[in-house]
Amino acid sequence: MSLRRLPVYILADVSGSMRGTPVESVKAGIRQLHRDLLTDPQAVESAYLSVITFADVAIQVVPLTEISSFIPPEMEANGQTNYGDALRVLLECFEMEVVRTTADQKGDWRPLVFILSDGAPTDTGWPQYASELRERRPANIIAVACGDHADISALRETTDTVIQMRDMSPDAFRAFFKFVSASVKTTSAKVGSVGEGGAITLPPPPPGITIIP
Amino acid sequence: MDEPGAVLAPDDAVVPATWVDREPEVAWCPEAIHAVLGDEFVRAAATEPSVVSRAHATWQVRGASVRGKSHGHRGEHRDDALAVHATDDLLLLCVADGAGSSALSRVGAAVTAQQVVEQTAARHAASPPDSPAASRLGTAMAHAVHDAALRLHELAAAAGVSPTALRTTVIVVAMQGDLILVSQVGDGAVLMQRQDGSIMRVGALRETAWAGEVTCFVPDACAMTQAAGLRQVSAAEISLIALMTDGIDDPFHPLEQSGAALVDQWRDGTSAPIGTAKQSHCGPVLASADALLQWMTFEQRGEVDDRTLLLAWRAAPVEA
Repeated sequence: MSLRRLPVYILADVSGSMRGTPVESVKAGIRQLHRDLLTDPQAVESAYLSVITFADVAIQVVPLTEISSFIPPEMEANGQTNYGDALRVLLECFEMEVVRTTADQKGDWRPLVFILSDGAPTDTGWPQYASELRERRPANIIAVACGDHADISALRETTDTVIQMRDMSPDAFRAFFKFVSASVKTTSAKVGSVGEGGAITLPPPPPGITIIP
Repeated sequence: MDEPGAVLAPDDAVVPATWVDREPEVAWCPEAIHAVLGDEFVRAAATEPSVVSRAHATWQVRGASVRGKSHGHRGEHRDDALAVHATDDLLLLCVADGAGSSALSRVGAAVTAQQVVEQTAARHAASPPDSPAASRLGTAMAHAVHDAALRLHELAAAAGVSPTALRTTVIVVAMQGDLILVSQVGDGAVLMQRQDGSIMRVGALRETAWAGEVTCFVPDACAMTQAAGLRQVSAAEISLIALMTDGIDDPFHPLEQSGAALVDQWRDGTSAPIGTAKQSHCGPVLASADALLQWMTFEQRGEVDDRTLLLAWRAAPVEA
């Protein structure tokens, strides 16, 4: 009779290209997301939030934490874009933190993952982890190509759901994190299983953010 | 330049929101569906909560379907439904749980529950009486789920929506003489207590590794196959049967461990909570509908779904 949680992971690219306004906007957006989720009692009861940053290496800067205890992290942008390490850490977090249903315990909702990146992977190991994520389908993953230089093909190899946010202004990030909040609020509902083609239905993205078909 | 940090100062304190209960803000169904179903059906389906008590020659029946906190907070209707058909010859019990991700799933659940009991009874009555009892009843149950699926397709066409907008789970228990048959599409549970007091779960276990994911709903094509996967039990062994949607099943998972305590509470009242559930004191659920509704108010963090529980038990007198 354990708690049924909705695990939400934010994977944020904090490589050098995100320095300045973009990384500050991501920080502000996560604070806004936290504040917004606190206004929804279902999110307060069920949603658990984690932040993983990736540059030269990936680090889970906030472990999976209930909304009322979540502390938005500080972030600094510099270094390369080790996308493979981000996916490796994500897979590790799934193994360590997410509960699957068994005969004896009740599982979590399928995790919701948002990957934000404005560049191309600088490592060579990422396809292996991307392939693993695609095959195992351990989460509903939404990849966000930020700006004009994001490697959409790498994101596409990770998940079918890729959205593009060309504008990297604070307003655009603010709108994006409202979309994240709305997605979290609508995810805890009975759905067809992913294996049956019944993945979650996302809310409509805000203006300026497009779903790449 | 816009200051991104101005979105929210880091030290801004936000008090976590609490639940409120709002009346539904939209009609229970679109006008086109309302016209097909009629005022009486829609009024009954939209009534909150839905409570049923029936007497059968051998069994007493009591059930309730109540709106969950999540729907109440959002001013939405309940997606669960239940239906009962009780004659001295045949007892049919049904619960259904509309998929939260489908816009009109409450309609799917209510129509499916009603169709399944009505059509099972009608098809059973019309079937050759010299056929083996299990075959006769099982065929009627499977065909009734097919009827329900067709009905949902008709309603979807009338409303100009996809049939998937009406997706629902369904559990049916049919009892005739010593025969009990169980049919299930999707999640939820059937719990039975044997005459010796032991507990068994009949039918589907959780279908995937993740909460809230179901492999098949009515009116999907797979529903008829799942519905035909009947489980048979001898009624002579059984003293109590409980049908429940996941709003009851999930908080007390696994039922194999909690089932005995649940049945004790239904028979004797709540004296001590089960597991981490917060339960207020209530009298025997089998004794009154008020006690059942009180029992269904238990609190468990994160368990905010609609709740439907339908009980059938032997011998106890039903309230006037």
